[in-house]
Amino acid sequence: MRKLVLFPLAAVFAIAAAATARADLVIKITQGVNQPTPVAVVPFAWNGSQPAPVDVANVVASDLLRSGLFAPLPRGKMLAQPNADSKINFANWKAVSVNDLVVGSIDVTGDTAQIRFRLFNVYTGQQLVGYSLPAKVNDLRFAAHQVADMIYQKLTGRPGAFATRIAYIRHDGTGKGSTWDLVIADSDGANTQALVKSSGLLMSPDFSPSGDRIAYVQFENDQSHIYIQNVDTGQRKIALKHAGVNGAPAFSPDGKTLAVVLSTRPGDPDIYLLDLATGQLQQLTHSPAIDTEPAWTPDGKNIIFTSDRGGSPQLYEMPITGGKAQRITWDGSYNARASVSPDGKSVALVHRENGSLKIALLDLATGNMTMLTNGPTDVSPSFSPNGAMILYSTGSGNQRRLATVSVDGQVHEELTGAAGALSQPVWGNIP
Amino acid sequence: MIGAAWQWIRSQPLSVGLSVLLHVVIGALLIMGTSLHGANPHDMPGRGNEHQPIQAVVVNSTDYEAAEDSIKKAQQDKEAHASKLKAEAEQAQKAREKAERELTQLKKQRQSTASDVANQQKQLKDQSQQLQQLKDQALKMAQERKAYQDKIAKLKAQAEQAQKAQAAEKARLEKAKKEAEAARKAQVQAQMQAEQEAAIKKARGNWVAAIIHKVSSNWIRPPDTPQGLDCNVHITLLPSGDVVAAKMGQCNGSSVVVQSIITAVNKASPLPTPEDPQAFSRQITFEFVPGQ
Repeated sequence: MRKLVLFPLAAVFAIAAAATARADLVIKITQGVNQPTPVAVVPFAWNGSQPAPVDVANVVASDLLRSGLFAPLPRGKMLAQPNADSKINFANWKAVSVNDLVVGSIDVTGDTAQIRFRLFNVYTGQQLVGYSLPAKVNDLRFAAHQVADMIYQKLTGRPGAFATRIAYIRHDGTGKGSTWDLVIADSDGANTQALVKSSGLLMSPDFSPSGDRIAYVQFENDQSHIYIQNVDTGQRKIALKHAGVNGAPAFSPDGKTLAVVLSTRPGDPDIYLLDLATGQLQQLTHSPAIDTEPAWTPDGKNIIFTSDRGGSPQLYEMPITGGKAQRITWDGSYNARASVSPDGKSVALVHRENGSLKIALLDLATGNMTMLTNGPTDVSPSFSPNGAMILYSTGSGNQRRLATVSVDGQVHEELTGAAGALSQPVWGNIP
Repeated sequence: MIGAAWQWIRSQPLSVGLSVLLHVVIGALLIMGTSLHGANPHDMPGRGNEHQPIQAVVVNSTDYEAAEDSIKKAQQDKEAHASKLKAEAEQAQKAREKAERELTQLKKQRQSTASDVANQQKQLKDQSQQLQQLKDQALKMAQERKAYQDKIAKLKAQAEQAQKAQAAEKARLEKAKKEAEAARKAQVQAQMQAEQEAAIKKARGNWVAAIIHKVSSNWIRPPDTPQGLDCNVHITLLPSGDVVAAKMGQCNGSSVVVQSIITAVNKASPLPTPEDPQAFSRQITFEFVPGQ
């Protein structure tokens, strides 16, 4: 938490204010605090014959906490637990200094639940949102993320990205008994589903912009192939099956092109663009060095990639129409694995510092780099679709887990998930 | 000659009266004296004819007796008559003596009257002179008196003037003193006011600083707070520091920013109160201008 530093300024404005003593006192506020907003998400009343399968309020509170922008009040500190139909006594919430209050009720009829929730500003008493949304009882968790998104959007002005999906690779076992799964889960890591199970190495999953397909790399007989698989039907097709390395697929923002890495000559992978409609392949980079890990800018005009053409792995940017690649990272001897923010203004990357791999954020306008994590083995960053968080993998060996960090680096949360080494996460778009 | 005498008489009534009376008395006495001498020149006892000659007559005893009686009676009558004459003479003598005395006295009186007149005239003259003198004196005195009065009046006027001047001076001094006092009071008051204002100013400065701190501490800046944000919020404050009304003024921020500001000022309630109640302001406008 940044400390409030305002005393010199306060003195200046004190004088300014005193000068206009007799009139309306005018006071300038030039500082605020960068703190998570204290909120309270009261347990939702459950009106159903069966026990609630999901603690909706808890899912909502956890989402808000993970975003780094909110500090949900622990339930033990709540002086009251009103629901969607209660008259709210705001004094109870002022007493515990929360700015906003969420109350809700869930009415169950058969396998359908109606979630009603209300969001209040504690200090004005104003209802900011009142909403009722239906959900299947067995899909309440996703509905809870939707509730969190609405609250998040109302309180931050940004779209929420909790009701989204992530994909990652789970590696289990050792040696010949090893298995690899391509797992799809909710943004909080829950609700996992293994889309692909493989005895061979699985790598580099990437969601299509619409989220209905996933491209990934699968090794079969020591040969890497790039597949594109439909998330809902499970159907897949080989997108690329060249000799040598076939890797790092990345969907263009319009979903029509796949940037891939091919190594037609050993030790010289280059970036190519694959037209998914025609299957036509176009080489983008031609350096004798390693060019890999392509990432699209949101406008679909440029590719940012990792290259050691300068002697060490650094990020470069070049137009998809070809031309000269511009180096964009200058700090340190290792900057790799770009994930471009949805607004195109910054890039999340892996930065090596004193032998430690950290997630860093590069401001494209200023070239400033900010460390978001402390390492030592934080890799594979992927921006959330609303640009507020970054998903990455951390740890090593079988202890490799998934985590999120808020873009201001303030909040780190490890995701729940299945056992095994979890790696190469990617965050899907908002459906 | 007669007119002048008359004039004089008129002017000297007493003296004239006296001299007339004197003449009348003298005239009367002269007439009386003459008649007295004419009527009884022999009866004057003082001239020796005390016994008149008697005619002798023979008379018998009875006649004698009668004659004796008659002689006796005549003797007696003669004696009575002589006594009477003698008394009368004595009386006349006495009257004459008295008249003489009176005449002498009158003469004396006349003489004294004349001298009196002279005296009176002299006196009159003296009196006249005295009168003149007195008149002169009176005139002189009047003049002196007038001069004195003038002098007194002048002195009085001078005194009055001096008194007036003194009064004016006193009034002036009084006024000057009052003015000096007022000026001193004004100065003291001005100084007190200045000190008080300085104290209020200081108290207000401290108060404002405390308010800034509290409101800033409670303002959680939304992540998308735009650069150049400029939002006003007007609040009404109770003396307790409680914010009773917060009204958003102009604001170039989003609804999220507006919410954050409204929340900040409400959450900062109660605001700190100034150490000097005079530094308090019921109306405050907060200008949220981050980074300025």
